[in-house]
Amino acid sequence: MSTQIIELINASILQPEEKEKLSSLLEKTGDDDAFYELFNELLIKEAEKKINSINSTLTEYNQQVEVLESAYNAQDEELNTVLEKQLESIDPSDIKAQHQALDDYNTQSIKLQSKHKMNMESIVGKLMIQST
Amino acid sequence: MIWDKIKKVAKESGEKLIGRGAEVKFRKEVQEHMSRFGTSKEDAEKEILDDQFGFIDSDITADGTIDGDKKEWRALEAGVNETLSKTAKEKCLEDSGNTSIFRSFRTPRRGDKRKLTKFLSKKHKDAYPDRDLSLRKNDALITGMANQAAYMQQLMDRLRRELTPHMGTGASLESILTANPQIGADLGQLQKMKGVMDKSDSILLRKMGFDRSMENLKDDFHKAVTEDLLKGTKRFLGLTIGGVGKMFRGDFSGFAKYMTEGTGILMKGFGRVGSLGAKTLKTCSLYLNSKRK
Repeated sequence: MSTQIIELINASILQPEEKEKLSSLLEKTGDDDAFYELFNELLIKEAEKKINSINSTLTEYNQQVEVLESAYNAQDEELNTVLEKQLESIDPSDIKAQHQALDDYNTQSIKLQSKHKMNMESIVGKLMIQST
Repeated sequence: MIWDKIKKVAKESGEKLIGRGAEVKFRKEVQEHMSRFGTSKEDAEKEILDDQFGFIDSDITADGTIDGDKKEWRALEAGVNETLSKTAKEKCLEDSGNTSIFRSFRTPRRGDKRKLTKFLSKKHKDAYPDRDLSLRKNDALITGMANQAAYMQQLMDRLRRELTPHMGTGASLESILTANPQIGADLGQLQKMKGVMDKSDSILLRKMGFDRSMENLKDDFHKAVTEDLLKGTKRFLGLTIGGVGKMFRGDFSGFAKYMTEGTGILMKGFGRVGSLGAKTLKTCSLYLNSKRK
């Protein structure tokens, strides 16, 4: 019985010092109501703490990603507008001009994407380190 | 005679191996056409080419594009390869860039962007679950592709119309194009335009791939951030479900109470961070409630 409860304590999300505290209480007073009350309290507190930390990481991440994505989307949209206007103005029989417009668009788009990718990876990396 | 047949089969098998299966198929179709309708080789070739233009035309009408994965375009290419000499093909390409031979359209046909978007969305359904957003973001490319396809259709219409009087005359396509370089210029232009379409398509694919990789990055981040809590909680809950009956010997209302309170809070949090944890906790909560009764 006691072994099972200790196993339960150890598998929980509690911090090592809290686990220690619970294990000593169990050893001293056994699994009475006071023990379960404390276990309950610590468990809820730790879960809230963890969830809050995850949520704040996610909030920070979402905010930063939103800023990056809206900047990226605006620039991508700009490139699309340029391409649209170019293709619109080129005579369809002018194959060379069409290739040129597409090549220019592709080069700019690759540049923009690699910058965006680098920014996204840097946010992810930073927050991952922060969350561990 | 038999030796000739063996040599022919060996040649065709070799051609198939080097990716010229479509050329072999075209030659067979020409032979079949000749024996079925008693026409000359030249007329059979023109008839089959005309059919192939027709198939591509139907594809564009149905999907708003000539899909690179479809065999219709390759079949047309093979037909042209088998019917025209290398010099004649080069002349077609050259004439298509010569403004005194190639006739531009005063009003180029506009493509059906909606049809093309629908086709692309269906085509990329499995590889790109978030394709619709990508497609919306690449409106310029899609409009371009739709217009390119419509322009090709317009070129084919003119080409087929101008070839019609030469059908059944016994004249070879090459001799017709030599006498009428403007028709050959349309053929050359058609081929070049396919190159433009293929380029647009590959840029679109690359952009969709990028969008997908960014979505994956976001998913991975969410997973990594929540995994730690999920891992610990799942193990804890597993043990609870297994051990709770034994621990309380039938009376576990106190423990169940705190578990349900705790899981309530946990679930609220998990609802925000991921469905997997919420499901695990819900299972535990339901289990405990059922035991309480």
